[in-house]
Amino acid sequence: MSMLANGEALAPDILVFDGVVKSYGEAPVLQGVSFSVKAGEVVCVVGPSGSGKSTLLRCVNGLEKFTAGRILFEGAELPTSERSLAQIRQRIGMVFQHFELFPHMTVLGNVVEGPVQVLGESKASARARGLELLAKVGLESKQHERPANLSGGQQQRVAIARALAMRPDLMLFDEATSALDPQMVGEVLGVMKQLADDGMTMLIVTHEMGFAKRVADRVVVLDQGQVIASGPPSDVLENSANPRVREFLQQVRWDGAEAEAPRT
Amino acid sequence: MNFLDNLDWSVIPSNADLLWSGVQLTVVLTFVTMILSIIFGTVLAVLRVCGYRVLSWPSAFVVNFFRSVPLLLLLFWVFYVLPATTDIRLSPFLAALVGLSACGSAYVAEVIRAGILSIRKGQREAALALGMTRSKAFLRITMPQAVRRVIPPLATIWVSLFKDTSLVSTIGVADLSHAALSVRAQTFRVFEILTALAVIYLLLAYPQAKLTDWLHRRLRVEE
Repeated sequence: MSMLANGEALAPDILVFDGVVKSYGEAPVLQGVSFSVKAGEVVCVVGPSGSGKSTLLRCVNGLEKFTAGRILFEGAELPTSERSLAQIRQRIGMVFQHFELFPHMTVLGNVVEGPVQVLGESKASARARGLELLAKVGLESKQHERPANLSGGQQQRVAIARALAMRPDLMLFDEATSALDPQMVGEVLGVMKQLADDGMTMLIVTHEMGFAKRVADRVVVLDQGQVIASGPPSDVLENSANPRVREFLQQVRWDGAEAEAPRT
Repeated sequence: MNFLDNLDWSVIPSNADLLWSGVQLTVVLTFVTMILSIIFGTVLAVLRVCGYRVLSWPSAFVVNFFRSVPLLLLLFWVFYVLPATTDIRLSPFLAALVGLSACGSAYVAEVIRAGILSIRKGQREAALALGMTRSKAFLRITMPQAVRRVIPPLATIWVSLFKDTSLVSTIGVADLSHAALSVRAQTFRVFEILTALAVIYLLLAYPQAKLTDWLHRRLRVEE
């Protein structure tokens, strides 16, 4: 594997996709996806809309069921029963495109909800750690606010803190900046970069090619439910010989210019 | 003007005791019915959306049955038909409570079900992603938001239920309407007593509507 080059070959695989297939009736969404993520690695999954990126990510914590193949988390195949899945999910943080903060709770309430309700931590210790995490994402002062009073970028940073509160072994980001106004993308990417520098294992579905290039250890390009390229960002995003990858990257640049236009 | 000159409003104060006991009974009946309706309505709604057909189908049947049968007929059925066909013999008050609660539960169930279904799928997924079990995600995340959202329609049910309690006078429950109608029968002061009855219902219902508005403002959650 290309990992040997990075000197990270000794790190254990935390997540393995092994021929993962998913179809809705006749329509195939994932057609035998295989790759793995090592502990401490940051892997960005990119690809055109409808390529199955989000579906793949959602299979990891069982929000989506797959049809065939295997997904191994920390060496064990994902369980099928809801009860066992709930145990696995405790160790996998997830950040959603639309934040999905709990609107009926305060910002700090959102962050302590998991530790208190799922891990059974005491409220006092969960709050102390929650405040630390809010400080880490720069939002300690917003602890008593309702999510609705925060900007999109702030909400997404709270969502990251909420996921981190569970002390996950793996973090999943499902287009975490796609629903944000352009001027807020940077603050969320900044938090994600910091997390990567701290050594968190991250699987990131994103359209931010610049971010992927700077932060990812490895980029996986998905197209029509298949991995069409995988490797270090410089290889995949800059020097790929694969015509489908080149076509996608041209498309992205074009889309990116489009998205920036209304900023003035 | 002749008509208005001949009115005798003294029938109201002279029958105040009777009317007051009617008011008390109407209020008690409303409160107990609403509490029972919220309990059973919530259970029916949860069964309806739980995802198991063995539970959701019977729940749907019960809800649609009681929503379709006129309340008056339901009251007659509980009070007259039930004792005739079974050994169940209920006092007028209990029969009224059963009839009103069956109807109320069905309406409350529909409103709560709609509230539950209105909560975005992503909220449940966020809760599951934290490692919550499905029941915990429902109790901690989906249900609290749904309840806040359905307070206005629940308030509407509450007030209309309060007014519907007047129907129980037909099976001999001494509620406010029953009291007023008996005063009318004794005094023939039809206009005075029916006007007073309307005013009393209005005075009782208005604060309830206001209270629920206030509750709604306090509990509202912005997204």
